[in-house]
Amino acid sequence: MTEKKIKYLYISLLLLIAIVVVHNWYKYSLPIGYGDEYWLVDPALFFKQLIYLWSTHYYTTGWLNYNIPQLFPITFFWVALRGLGLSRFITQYIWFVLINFLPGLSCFLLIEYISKKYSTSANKLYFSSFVGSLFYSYNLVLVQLLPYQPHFKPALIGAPLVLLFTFKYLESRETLKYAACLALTSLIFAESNINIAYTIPVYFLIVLALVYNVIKHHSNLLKNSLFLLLSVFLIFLVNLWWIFPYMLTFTSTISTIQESAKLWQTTNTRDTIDYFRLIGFWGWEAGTPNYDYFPFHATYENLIFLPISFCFFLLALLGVIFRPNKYTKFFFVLLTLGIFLAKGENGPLAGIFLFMFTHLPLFWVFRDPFSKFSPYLILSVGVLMGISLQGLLEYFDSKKFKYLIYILMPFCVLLIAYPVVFGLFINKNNQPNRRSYYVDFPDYVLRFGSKNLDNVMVGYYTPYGSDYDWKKGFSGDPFILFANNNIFESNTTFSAGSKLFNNIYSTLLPHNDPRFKNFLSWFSVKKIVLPNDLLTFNYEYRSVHEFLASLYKQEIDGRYVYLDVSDPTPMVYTINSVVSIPAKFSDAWRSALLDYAGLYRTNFYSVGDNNSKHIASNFVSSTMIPIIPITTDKDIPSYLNSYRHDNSTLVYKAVMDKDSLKTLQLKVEFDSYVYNGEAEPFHDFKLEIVNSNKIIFSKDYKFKNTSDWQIIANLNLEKGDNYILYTPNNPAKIYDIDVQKPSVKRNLTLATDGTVTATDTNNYILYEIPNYNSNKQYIMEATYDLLHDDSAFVLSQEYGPLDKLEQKNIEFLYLCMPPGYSPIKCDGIVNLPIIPKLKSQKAYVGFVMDRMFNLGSLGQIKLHNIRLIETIKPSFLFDTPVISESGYKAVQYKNIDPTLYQVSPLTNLKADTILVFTNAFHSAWKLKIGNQVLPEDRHIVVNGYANGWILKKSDMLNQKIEIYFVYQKYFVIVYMLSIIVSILCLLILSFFIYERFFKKK
Amino acid sequence: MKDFLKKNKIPLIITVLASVVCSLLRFAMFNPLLVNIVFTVIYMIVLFRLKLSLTTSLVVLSSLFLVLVLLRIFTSGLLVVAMGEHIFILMLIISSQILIQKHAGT
Repeated sequence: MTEKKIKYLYISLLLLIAIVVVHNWYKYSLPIGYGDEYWLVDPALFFKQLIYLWSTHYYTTGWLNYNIPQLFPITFFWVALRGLGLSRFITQYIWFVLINFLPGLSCFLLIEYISKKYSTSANKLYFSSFVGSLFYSYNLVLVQLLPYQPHFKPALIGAPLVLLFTFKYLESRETLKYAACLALTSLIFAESNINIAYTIPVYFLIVLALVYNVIKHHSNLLKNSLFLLLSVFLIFLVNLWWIFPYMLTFTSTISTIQESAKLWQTTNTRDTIDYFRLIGFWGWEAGTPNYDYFPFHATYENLIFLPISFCFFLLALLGVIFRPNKYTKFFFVLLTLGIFLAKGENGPLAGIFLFMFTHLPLFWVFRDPFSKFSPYLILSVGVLMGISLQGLLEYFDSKKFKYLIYILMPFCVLLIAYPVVFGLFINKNNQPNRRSYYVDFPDYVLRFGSKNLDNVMVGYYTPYGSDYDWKKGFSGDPFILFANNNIFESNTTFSAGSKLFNNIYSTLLPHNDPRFKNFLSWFSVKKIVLPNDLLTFNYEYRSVHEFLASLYKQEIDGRYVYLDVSDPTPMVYTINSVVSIPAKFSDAWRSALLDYAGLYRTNFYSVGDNNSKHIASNFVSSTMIPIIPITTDKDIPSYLNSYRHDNSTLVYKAVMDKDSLKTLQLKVEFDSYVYNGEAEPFHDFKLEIVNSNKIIFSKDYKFKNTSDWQIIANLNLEKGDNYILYTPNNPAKIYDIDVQKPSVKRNLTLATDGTVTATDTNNYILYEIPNYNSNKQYIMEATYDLLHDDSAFVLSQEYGPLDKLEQKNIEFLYLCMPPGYSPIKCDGIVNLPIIPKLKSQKAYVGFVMDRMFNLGSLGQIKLHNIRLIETIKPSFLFDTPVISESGYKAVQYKNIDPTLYQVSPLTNLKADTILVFTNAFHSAWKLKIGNQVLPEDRHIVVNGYANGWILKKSDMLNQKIEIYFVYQKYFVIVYMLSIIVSILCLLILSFFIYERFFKKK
Repeated sequence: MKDFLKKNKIPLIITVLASVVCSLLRFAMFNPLLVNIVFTVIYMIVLFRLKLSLTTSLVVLSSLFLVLVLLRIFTSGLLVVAMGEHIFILMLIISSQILIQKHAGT
């Protein structure tokens, strides 16, 4: 076989393996989109949202459309293939094959380039390149990451190419050619820039290679610097289309992300030794009480997997010994650097990392350094391994042993990556914090289409960190969210409007609240989507549904209930008075607004403010109905998740609400996932009391429609006691379920300072509010010190740990401290708004510490300077109609695109008025009357989030009026510039290729 | 290979012994930083006194790694953690060796 044929044979083998692997992923014939990122099921659907700078209506953080990087290549690829008529499924299949194959291919080319000069035989060269690139494509790092890896995989394609072109430049010194190559390569992983922490290490490879070259040859400093400058310039121009929107709001964007990043830092995950076998993900051995995130992690400790997982590193070392040339040495240095960076705060030299993390500007983006720097590890191990294999094959050339290498090495690589190869790392169960990756679009998204999701309110969403409820379609991931324009389903940290809406909605959940209509008009809500109440496990939602159904016309369709808001408020109208925000709240007006409204059932904070508690509000969305726990002396269940006990998957709430001991009304809702994704239409049950404390499910009772189940309860109940009932995974059995009374046997200390320790038994401190007045509001503030220094913690306000305590009007601040998460800042101020729940004379507030994800065993926080701040509780906002009594006047308008609205001329304006545009306030929204732009001092914040312009009688309003987003026109220019520079780079490259071809001829 | 190992047995033995002793010190709850510094100093002395070549350093590193893996198969305590850190320290030293060498390699 000729050399070329051997090369293409091995490349084809890489492709074939990619196809087989992806085939394994699709064993359930379901699309893969994991959790909240349902957009991955069909990115093409969201194409139009990525070509405008503004895509969201209630987006109040000052950010623009930060999803823009995802336009290329993933969205373009999908648009192209879907445009060709390919189904979603096939398109996704091809995409997966490509993202599995292309990293391998680029690594193959790199290894080939490096080792070709030192190679004696084509077969050995390409076999070793094949095994090295196979390792790069399938390894333990990828086992630990999600299957789609929209940020990671494209960066993996880019990393070897970036190095390849830099090496080629260093050899040929063709500056323009390779600068153009690098610029075009940067486009391949442009989508990864949505999280720059993934791309910075890739770009940095160019710098590393050039610096390494300069260290070895000082004379190259000038040449290398010029090349670097030109490359950076071209990369900048080619990527300007996504850099531009980021630049416009750089300060606010960075500070917002930094605040949220502080709360989740996994810089100290595993011992240094594990990084040698590429295990460093924080969740490797973690999980919930019932479920490991990586159920296969124990396999890697057995006598076969353990040595093999280490052997790749050893092979990498041999690579440098066999071929001590400039490339292998470079990759050895890269490997060392990679381990240093990926291991984060693990010793040795942890202090340097910590210093950089704390003081180096922007270095905090590497809060999860393992996943960000692991490309350095797998690339250097892959390349060096390939080179060492070549050496080994030559060493054993005359022996039959070499054939064993040919068979064993690819086998070992794939064996270690078996969860990827067989698709086992794709979670198919809905477990707390680990959601099914086999998903499809929620029905309502398909019904409305992504574009028409505006002004649709989705009533219930699953907060991050809680049981994933995909089938019902309401879910939120605070960190990655695509379809931002629909605040109602979005739970993203970065959309303060989303919080505003969802929190108000949640707050008003107590049904029959007449203020709800005001709230809808405030946001111009046109439609409401709720889960079909038969399918909800929160019985309170049934009440909400009943309430809304009494207000609006409803249509029940499968899993959803669609309600049409009658006479919805238009998006553009004029009005004489609006709710305006006092100037003193300008910094955090949204939270202030909620404070004012007394909406403290959940905690709401503005994203832009200096504390980081917006995350906390994410975790405690009151759409979570607290499940009343079975409390034993040792456990306070985590309220972040629906409580799951041991092997059970269901949690029921039973409320003893009768005086008599004879009958208990149990409101029981089944989790729909119990029956293979189909819900059981359960109803309320009557339970007979027998003198026992067992509850047994048996198959004697007929229910509507489907399965037959009866609850026979043998309970000894007391008024006011709360119980949960739970069943094991498989309901097709008879269960004995112990129901225990809540225990309140705890020592509640009252003190000014204190230490909260989370050990095997959770603990809390309780304080009494002096001279409590239920007509007032209180905020509790405390300074905290983290005593246990290798753990991080998450702060959030939560419900009291015990229902008994809650009933006594006790609010709790919940300190969650999962060891293994490393804090950078160990002290800070927390504050806890206190909502009067009962009109009692006494009220308490406390701090609880709990462990979130069953990690570790100990955490400790010391609290000082605990003080109470008394606040007034005005409630004007929701008690009066948002739209004033005089009513609004609808205005004719046309929505040209998300950044341009044309309003018909306003005539007969008798007095000054306000033109309201119910799209999130941003100073870049402008109102143009004729050719005159209204000055900024007449642009006001309306109703806490929207745009308003003060119109005067004297304005010439009989002309054409336009509301437009001013940056969009620059954005179009930037787009064009990027396209032109990309084409120029292509032309430069074509010229060089043509020249080479021409010269050869 | 055997000849090579024979020639370099002194740095090999010293490094492995140093690592084992340092790991035991760590096991005896000595300050990790101090223990790592002791190991670094011992290896630096070996490196400079015996004028180890890059290849020898790498062989020492690989051998220590092999010892570590064998140990790790049977145990996963502090001893192994400390040895893992020594591997990283050796990598750092060898990387410095690579960077300091002028015009090295082919």
